[in-house]
Amino acid sequence: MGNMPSQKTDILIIGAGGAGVRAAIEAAAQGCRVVVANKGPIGRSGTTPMAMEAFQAVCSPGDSRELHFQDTVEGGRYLGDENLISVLVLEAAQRARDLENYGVQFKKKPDGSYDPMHHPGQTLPRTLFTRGGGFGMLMALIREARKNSAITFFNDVLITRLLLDREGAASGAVYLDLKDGVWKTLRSKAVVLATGGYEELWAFNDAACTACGDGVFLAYEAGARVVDLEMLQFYPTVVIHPPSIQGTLFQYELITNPEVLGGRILNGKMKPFFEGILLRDAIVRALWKEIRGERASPHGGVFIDLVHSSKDREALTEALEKWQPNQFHYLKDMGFDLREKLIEVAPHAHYTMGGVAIDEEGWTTIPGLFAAGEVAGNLHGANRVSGNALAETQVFGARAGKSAAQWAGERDFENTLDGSHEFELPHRAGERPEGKKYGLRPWEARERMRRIMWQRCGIERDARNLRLGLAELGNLEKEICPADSAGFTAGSYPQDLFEALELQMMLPLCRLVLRSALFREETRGHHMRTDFPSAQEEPVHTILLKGQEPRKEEVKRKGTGR
Amino acid sequence: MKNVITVSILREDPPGGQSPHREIFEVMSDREMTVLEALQEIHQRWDPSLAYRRYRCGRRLCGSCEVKLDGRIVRACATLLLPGRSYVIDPARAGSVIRDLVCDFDRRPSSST
Repeated sequence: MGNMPSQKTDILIIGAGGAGVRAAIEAAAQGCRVVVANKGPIGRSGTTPMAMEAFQAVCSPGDSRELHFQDTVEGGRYLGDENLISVLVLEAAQRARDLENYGVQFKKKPDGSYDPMHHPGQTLPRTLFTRGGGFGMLMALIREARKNSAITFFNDVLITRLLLDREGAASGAVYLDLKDGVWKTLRSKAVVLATGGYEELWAFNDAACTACGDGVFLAYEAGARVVDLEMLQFYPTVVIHPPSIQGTLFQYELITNPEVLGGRILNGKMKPFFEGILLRDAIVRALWKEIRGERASPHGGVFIDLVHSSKDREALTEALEKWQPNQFHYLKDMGFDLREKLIEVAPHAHYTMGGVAIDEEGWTTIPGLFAAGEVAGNLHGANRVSGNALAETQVFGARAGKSAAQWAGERDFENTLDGSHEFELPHRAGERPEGKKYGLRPWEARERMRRIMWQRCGIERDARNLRLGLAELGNLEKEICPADSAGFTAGSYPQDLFEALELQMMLPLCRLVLRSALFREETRGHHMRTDFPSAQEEPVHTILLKGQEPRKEEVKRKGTGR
Repeated sequence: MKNVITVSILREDPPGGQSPHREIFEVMSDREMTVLEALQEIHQRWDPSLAYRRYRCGRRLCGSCEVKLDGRIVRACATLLLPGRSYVIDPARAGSVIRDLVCDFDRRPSSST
């Protein structure tokens, strides 16, 4: 490692989505030098640009933080940490005002007050409609961050390991610079993980292909606690056919709402099969029952029907333009006019509630290591309520940035980062174990992994399938060798090496998800165990911690602080 | 041929010293395919060394997949190719190519093209 090119900064933030950039703004405001490292180009990769328009914050007359708290706790099926939820509801409205100061526009009434949407699970309308969705929000955050010269963005950087100093504190990272294909290190006094979720582990997801769970893997490998990894939220209405538009999300909250689109959701026999507007876990179950019960549409889903909307064509067009302009025009240009054709949708992996365990200040269980946004676990519990994800990025991004700055301010740079220190977790390139080779292309291995996860740990789960999944992953692992010893094309933007390195982080994470899912012997929220169909009385977290031996992790259970 | 999409891709590896040159690929398909799907198919089935950006925001907003298709800058995720037709694909920003179709968004695009 000694001869790797190296740089220094006060704080390294991994991930340039909503949480990471908000953390950078906060840390720089406290006087720190910050590097934000991003796996793709900033603003053009990651999860935030894909987010819908929803930011949940109390804004209606008669609404209160207490109601937001109660809705989030109940929506999360009592598994979310109440201390974290308290912080979320306390600060969401203030962070929304910060966003307005950065230039984000929320939909307003003519009198200038917010014009919130009423989403399922909200006692009163509480969803601020963010113009331009997550993309618009992120653009404003980036513009704000660029005003401060203490913040530097590193694009096209794949971080594969965290560095720990002699005291066990996070002190930087090892990364492959995709621009020139050279391994480098960045040393820092603190590290903030803001890498998003791990939906890419599953074959059918509506998330970014960059959502590989890098941060969860990095934290676990460094010895941090990870929590409730089995908790994966499915989104009910994601396009499944044709392949060119597969994965496009259409907001189910708007479809059947008579005041918005006035449409219907029908099974393959063209019949409606549920009433009202259900929470995500409940509607996913209703859809799955139809799909499994031989009442599926031709490609294994259900239909969104706006052709027979209760609104006339003009009113429907207006509503689509108002509420889903990007989706409407994108699908139309791809040959799918929602006003004229039924479109097939099915549940997809959408958001990972599990992740790195944090406290209210964004601390993980490792000194100097912080986490914010989707990479963190234990906030939403077993089901995330619409609008709480963007709010989470801002509330916890700001908190993690502030905590990291405080920690970094108390650290002496030269002492913690003296080159004479023995760093743990050195990166050893090019060592190929005897007799091992990469027996298939990285994308093939990735597809196999994603199918295993979908089949064995998808919407319905049981012990037999989860164990089969572990065995199948084991077989897959035998067919590949360490990515940097496989002889892939090197140099700038090494596509196969990049994909193989991502896979190398995803495979161990899959194992942890399966172990976690096996351990939770109950059905709660989105975790549906057919062999344990009811919820246990007391909600408890599944916590994993790296053990002394390779591939052995410790499992712990912990209450939610109720 | 009716069920073939032909694409001519400008390949380039600036630090590797490889000068820009064209390579022609034929993708079998009897349906319309997005440019991004075709590039993925070529990388997976024909040429592991082809570099392109896989990210797709799903909302036609981010522009990370931009390429030049027959001289026009388009979003690869939202532009359809028709079977039986031939196309020319170049990087969107000449002068800031990292490799093949992957451009460096930190560098200003060259104004010459």
